[in-house]
Amino acid sequence: MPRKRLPGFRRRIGVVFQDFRLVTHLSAFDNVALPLRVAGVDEKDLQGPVSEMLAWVGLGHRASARPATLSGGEQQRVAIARAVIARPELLVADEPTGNVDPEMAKRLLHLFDSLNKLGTTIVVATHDLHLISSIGSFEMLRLDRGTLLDPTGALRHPPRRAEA
Amino acid sequence: MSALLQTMGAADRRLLPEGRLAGPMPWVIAIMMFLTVLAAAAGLGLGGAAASLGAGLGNRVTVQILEPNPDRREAEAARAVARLQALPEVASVRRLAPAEMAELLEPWLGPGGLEGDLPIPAMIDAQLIPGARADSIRPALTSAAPSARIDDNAQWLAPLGRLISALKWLALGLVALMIAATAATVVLAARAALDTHRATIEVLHLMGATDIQVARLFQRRIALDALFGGVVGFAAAALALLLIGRRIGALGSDLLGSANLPATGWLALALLPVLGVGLAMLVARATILRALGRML
Repeated sequence: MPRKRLPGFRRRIGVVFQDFRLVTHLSAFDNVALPLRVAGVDEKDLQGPVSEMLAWVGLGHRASARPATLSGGEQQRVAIARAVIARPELLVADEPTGNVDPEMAKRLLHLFDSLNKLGTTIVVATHDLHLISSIGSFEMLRLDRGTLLDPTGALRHPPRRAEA
Repeated sequence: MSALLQTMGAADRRLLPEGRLAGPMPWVIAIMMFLTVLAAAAGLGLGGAAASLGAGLGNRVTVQILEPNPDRREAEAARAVARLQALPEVASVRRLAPAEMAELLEPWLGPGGLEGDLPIPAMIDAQLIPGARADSIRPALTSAAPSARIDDNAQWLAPLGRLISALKWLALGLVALMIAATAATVVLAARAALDTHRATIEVLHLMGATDIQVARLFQRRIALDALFGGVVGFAAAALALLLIGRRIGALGSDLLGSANLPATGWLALALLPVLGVGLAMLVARATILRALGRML
């Protein structure tokens, strides 16, 4: 893909990194607002959605906090809020529930489920099979040393190579 | 330039941490600007002196009537003035009055030195039209005043003019070197800033920021640093030039006085910080876009 087309392509993808990759000198609010600002959204138009998203992930009261003052779980929620705020077409999340309590983990997965119903493709990499199984609409694929496998013999949509 | 100076929202500005971008860069630019303004002022001043030398003195001849007999000397001087006034190559003619001669010779002869019977040549100052040479008036002058001797100012001013011209070009060469050194400083500062903020840039890229958006962040900060350095350097150089100008004024020398800067010279010097900011922004933009092009 030509380099000049990358920015537009990347704006259609939300990513939750395992190490969060928050901008350390920006507040939680500014971190979540980052994709909207990069996309050129007016300041007056992003205040509401960002505040709402922060409240949804339970961080409405920490909007002005810097990442260094947030716990691991709080940073993860900021990272998730940042990844979904721009309603991406594809969301890739690496261990998105690794640092949050079970209740918040379920809420986050339900958020992903809701986004999926709105048309976003969600790809979640996780070791927590039990948690992921609790969301009925997910399709599970197991990756072992770079190869997709069927962990339970119950893959609902196995890849073509596995069938062959 | 207006696109480069495009303002950014306060929130966008916060994408890079507050504070100076690359440590000592503003002070390095201040020193560069100080030296650049001094060198440019020297170049402009020497250019003015060279022009003044050529226009004021270089196109003049001094005619001495060396006849020892006072009566014949007066007659020859009168004929020489009349002949010079009639020549098309001569723009103006002025015979020095006895009082002016006495004033010129006073350092050597003392007050009242001309009152005795000391034979002093008659002096005639002639301004030639541009392009005319002393040799072209010599035959006509010597036929009217056989004892006339012509001193061509251009002949003895030529080496001084060449020296001043060489110094002027040296000063302008120094300005060019300073500009190149300032550009190199900005390149190094921009690269250092990119390395410092690489993690933030990667996040911005992953969010879909374009190279132009990222470059604009650095461009603005480098422009502010360059503006600070430029203003400080210019102010220090202007102060130094004013002090030097006062010292030159105290000397009372016509030649050195002609090296003083006119208002247009000061205006040209005042534009240097503005040009410095523009140069810093362009160099920073080119450096950052080139470096971003190598990143994913």
